[in-house]
Amino acid sequence: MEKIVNERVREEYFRLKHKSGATILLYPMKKYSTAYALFGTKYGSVDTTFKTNADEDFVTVPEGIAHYLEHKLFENDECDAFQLYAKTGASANAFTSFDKTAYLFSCSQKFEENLEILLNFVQEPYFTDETVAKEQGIIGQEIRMYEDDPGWRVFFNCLQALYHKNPVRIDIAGTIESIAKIDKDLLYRCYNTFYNLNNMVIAIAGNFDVDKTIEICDRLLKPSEDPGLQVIVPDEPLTVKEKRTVQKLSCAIPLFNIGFKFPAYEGAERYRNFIIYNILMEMCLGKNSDFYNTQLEKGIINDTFNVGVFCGRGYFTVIADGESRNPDAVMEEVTKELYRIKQEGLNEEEFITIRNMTYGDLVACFNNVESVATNMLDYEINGIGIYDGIEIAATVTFEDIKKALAEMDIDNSSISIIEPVE
Amino acid sequence: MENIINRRELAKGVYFGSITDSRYKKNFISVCFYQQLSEETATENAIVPYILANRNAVYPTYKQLKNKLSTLYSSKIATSSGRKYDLNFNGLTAYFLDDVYALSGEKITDEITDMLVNCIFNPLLEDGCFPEKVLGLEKPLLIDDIESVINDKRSYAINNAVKLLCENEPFGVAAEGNADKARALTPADAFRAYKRMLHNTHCEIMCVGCNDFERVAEKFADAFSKVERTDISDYSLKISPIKEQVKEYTERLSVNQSKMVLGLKTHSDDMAALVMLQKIYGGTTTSKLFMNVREKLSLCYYCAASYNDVKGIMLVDCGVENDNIEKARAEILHQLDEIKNGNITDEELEHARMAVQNSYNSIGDSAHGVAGWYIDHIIKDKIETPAQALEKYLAVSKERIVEAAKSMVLDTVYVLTSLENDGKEQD
Repeated sequence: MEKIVNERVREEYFRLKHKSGATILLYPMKKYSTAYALFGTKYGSVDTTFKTNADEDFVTVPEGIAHYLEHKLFENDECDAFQLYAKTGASANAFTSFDKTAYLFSCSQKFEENLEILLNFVQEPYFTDETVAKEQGIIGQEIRMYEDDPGWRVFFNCLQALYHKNPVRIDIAGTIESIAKIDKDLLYRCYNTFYNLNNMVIAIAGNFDVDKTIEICDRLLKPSEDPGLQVIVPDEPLTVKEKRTVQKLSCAIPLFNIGFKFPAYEGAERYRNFIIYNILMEMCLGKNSDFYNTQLEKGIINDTFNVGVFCGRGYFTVIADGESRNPDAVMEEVTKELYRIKQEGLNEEEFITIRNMTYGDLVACFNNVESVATNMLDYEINGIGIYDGIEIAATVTFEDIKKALAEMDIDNSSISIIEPVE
Repeated sequence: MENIINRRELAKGVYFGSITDSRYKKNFISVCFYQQLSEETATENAIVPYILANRNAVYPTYKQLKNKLSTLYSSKIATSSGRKYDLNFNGLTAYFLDDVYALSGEKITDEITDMLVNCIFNPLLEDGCFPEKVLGLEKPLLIDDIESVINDKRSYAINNAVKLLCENEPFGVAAEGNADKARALTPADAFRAYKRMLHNTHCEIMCVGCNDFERVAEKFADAFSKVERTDISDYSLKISPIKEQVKEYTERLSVNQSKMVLGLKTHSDDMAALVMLQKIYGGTTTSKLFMNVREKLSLCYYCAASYNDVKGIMLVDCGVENDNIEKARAEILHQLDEIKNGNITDEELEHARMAVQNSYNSIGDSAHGVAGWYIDHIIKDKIETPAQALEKYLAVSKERIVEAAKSMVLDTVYVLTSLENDGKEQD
């Protein structure tokens, strides 16, 4: 077990590659009353085509199956996990994102009992035709809910405009049609492929006992062989698929996402670029910038305008989003401003300001057990440690930022717009 | 770990509360002015925090203020406004990293407190009023904010349901105001609202973090000592009257999924039993609504109940396929009848007790949680710790929950549905 210490936040945690294959991250925070635990797998909506050593051929599964599996894993042959947690009072949930699925609980009592529930149900799938069918209605309503959400739609329409083939372009929950193709055999195949402990991480933060936790993991984690998992990430052209996409929905003011497509980065390089491009974009377009203040005064944007990096396995983008009565004018002004800065250069004083801001935001993430546990899982799945972000932010140089701007292809962009229905 | 609040009166009607806890790396200071919520003043009150948060006489532009905040490790001064029961609160909240985490020894707390004091007491003025140009900048942001409520259909439905549920009550008024009134606001209107807050309304300053906040108290005491505080307006919180007939309302929009909100009311004073009722009925993932409307009948992705103790209101809201609206409504009411008929298992009661225990014991772990708790209890004028409240909830018997359920009356049904759906007509 490795102890990882950081002098800047004056804290430490433990990382253990467990004999079962799982990676375990333990961050005791003794003054807290609660503990927050996640059991996650590197399996998200983008993992649609895959095989293991045991399979002859690659299989492509219906869109939305990782999310469907998350819903169904809560049930075993007697009851669902919520009923087990109800006996301890823990607050439990799960989520599926583009590149991971995680099951979690938060509790102020009976931590060890809750951990046993979590480790047990995630390792015991139970799917029948009947229980799989029952979920169609519930997930169907979840999909409908997102169809009416302009903020969600404008984002996915942007990803669909940026990407030709990468499955990041598909909705995490799939569609009413795609989920109709899901059956218990497909769920078992996905489960057996991705819920192998070699592909999984346990992240716990807060008030818990490290030794007892390891004892429970030793007892309940079932040793698993590395299955030789291969996931196909389709060859993605560097160029965007469409320059502009428009949808009409019930909303007051048009919403927009302006996306810039970058080559995909992997592992530690991806996270470093995540920090660098976030700093660069804050400097160019963020709330401190001349751009933001000028366009706000002109009424082209309002205070919902925001810019940041969105990235993961096989995709890396910068997205500027917000509301505007004239989204095409925002696109024009953003492009013009980036070209202007590329030509006239960045300001080093502004860089120091934004770097301090980024550092402050990252330190603040250690303020509560939930964000510590969630970030540990997220960072581990991305191949780095939870303190790496702070170190990058504290040591990134002005030269790094200038280089990033020089490498950015400003024209490789798309705009997605949601207009109000008449 | 139990947090204890220190609270004292700094000036007439101005209270300073602080909670020091070494767990938090960030501090926050919230300064809010409270008054009775009313249609007449909501919009002019709502613009004030926008004007104050983004500049002051020392940092006259947003860019200057924002740059200073960013240099101080992403400190923020944000608007705080909204509705709390029958009250309208407006003010500012500052968030900042504690001094011990500064990379170069900056006195973050002192600097942020000075900036916050300047935003509130030393705003940018022109001829003794807010500048026309500033109003021109902030007004469109308030208008967009008011109009964008429709983007989130779940909150939009709940807001509209509450308006109908509490017609002619302060709680039925939208605290963010009205877009047409916002368009008509003048600098004089906004300045009048600002002066009213500063001189004539109740003020709560709440600080939470690892700091001891004594310097903050001194700075605010000094600032308020220079302000005349007279005729501090009184306010009241009232339970919502129950309509004689159920009010039904259907609104049509271009949507894929319908939203239904059932507004129930009670005049029971057994609040502890009502809190437990909410948990058993629709407050957890093993509640009757979750287990039946979602899990058994697969009608909804979400179907939950929330309880407002001051107003005596329980809201049940769900997203549902247009064709299943009536089926969902029947099941939601049927589950309440089940409780009224005494159908609560020992297991359900035990689950509800465990759930409240878990959530009340967790409050102290977040600075926001603990601040929210105390602000809420200060406004209700009954300060107690989460542990004291918990003790009352755990003592509630099944019989008291059944009685609490029997006191619930359906008052208002609001449905948001698609343009094509042939449901009930708008009344």
